[in-house]
Amino acid sequence: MENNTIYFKIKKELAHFTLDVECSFERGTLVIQGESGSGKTTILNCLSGLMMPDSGQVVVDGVRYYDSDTNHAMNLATKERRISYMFQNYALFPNMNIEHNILYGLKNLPEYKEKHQRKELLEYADDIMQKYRIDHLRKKSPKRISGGEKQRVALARAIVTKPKLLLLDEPFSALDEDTKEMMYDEFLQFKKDFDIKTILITHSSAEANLLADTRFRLERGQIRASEGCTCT
Amino acid sequence: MQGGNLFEPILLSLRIASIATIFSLLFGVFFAYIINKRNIPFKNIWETILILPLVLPPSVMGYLLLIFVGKRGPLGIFMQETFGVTLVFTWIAAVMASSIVSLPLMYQNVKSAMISVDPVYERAARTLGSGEVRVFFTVTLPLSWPGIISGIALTFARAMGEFGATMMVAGNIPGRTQTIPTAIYYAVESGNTKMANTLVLIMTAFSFALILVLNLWLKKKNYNGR
Repeated sequence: MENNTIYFKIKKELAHFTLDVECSFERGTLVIQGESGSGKTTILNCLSGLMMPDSGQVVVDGVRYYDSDTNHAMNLATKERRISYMFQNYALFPNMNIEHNILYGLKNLPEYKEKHQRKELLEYADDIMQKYRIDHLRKKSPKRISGGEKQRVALARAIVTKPKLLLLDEPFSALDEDTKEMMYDEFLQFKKDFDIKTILITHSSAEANLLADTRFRLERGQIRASEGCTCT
Repeated sequence: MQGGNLFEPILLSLRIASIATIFSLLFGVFFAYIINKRNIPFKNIWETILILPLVLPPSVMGYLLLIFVGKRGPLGIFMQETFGVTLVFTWIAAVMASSIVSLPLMYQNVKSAMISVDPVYERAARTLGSGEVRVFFTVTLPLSWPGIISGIALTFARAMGEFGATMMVAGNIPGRTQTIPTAIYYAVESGNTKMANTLVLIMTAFSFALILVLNLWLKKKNYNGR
């Protein structure tokens, strides 16, 4: 397995069908497009370790996170995986202000305990907050900011820990049409600025056309059509 | 008791209820968490045991406790042999009685608060690298705060009013184990109407104020969207 490849093979029995996918990609954004209930979110949950597949393999940049092969079976805990997950409704912690939300994941990094590295991490967080124009929201509650701002904060929170893989679950579905257009542009800019391998799931084929480097369509747990990736 | 000290039972009740509330809080939060947020076996059995003091007559709870902490009870023997301490008929026994009788109220309140915390926040915390302990202290517990506050208020009120079990394990020794409810009982028995009226008034006013403040606070919390 190449050291800069994301590879997953997931088999999982769901209520009405079996999710059975295998895919690998090396760069950019993989878009998984499909109707609701086609198994998209289950894939993200299995990758992040929030859910366990019945069988398969998850390998991120040469590191095995999950393997059902009995000879070298393993299942790394969610907190050990360098995977960030942006949930559909962003899941910003309502009991913390924006700054604490963004710094939350940093505090779990082993590097954060080293004084000089901590300084670098905090500066990096400052840079990201300025870049996404959320710097002035630091002390605000997530309840008091707009939908577009929530998305920027959630993205900042997800990337500030420098993950190996970023998972985005319907990131634009909670936004109104005008904000959506603006956030598409921001996402395309984000792709240029940060070299983070990303899996984005959406039900919209227009969104998939606009944002994907590689993509596949999921129907009842099976890959129906793929472009740019080795997916079956 | 004629013209007896009014403040002793009040202060003792406050002390017993405060300590009992702390115990109920620790155990209530612990059990609410492991029963409702973790996968432990026999959940229903544990929960039933916790709720039992709510439905059993306090005298039954008092009797069971007496068997346990009394001179021939396992904890009674242990405390006597190890520390030379007798538990029964002390204010510590009253704390135990109040803690056990009020624990179901704490448990129920904390439980409903915890299960109403949207699991997506806990999942988000895990994906951001938190282990279960940090998830609990930074997300689950703070988001259950309103339920914990009502648990504390109701537990405290229940502990202040505890009579039956306390009477059985701690008795009614003025200045040592006599609380407001047992003092009222004794005052009525001995025809000290003035004392009984005063304590009843204090107890009722206190409980009224506590519940009123709690309700107002919870309403305010809800209007703020949480």
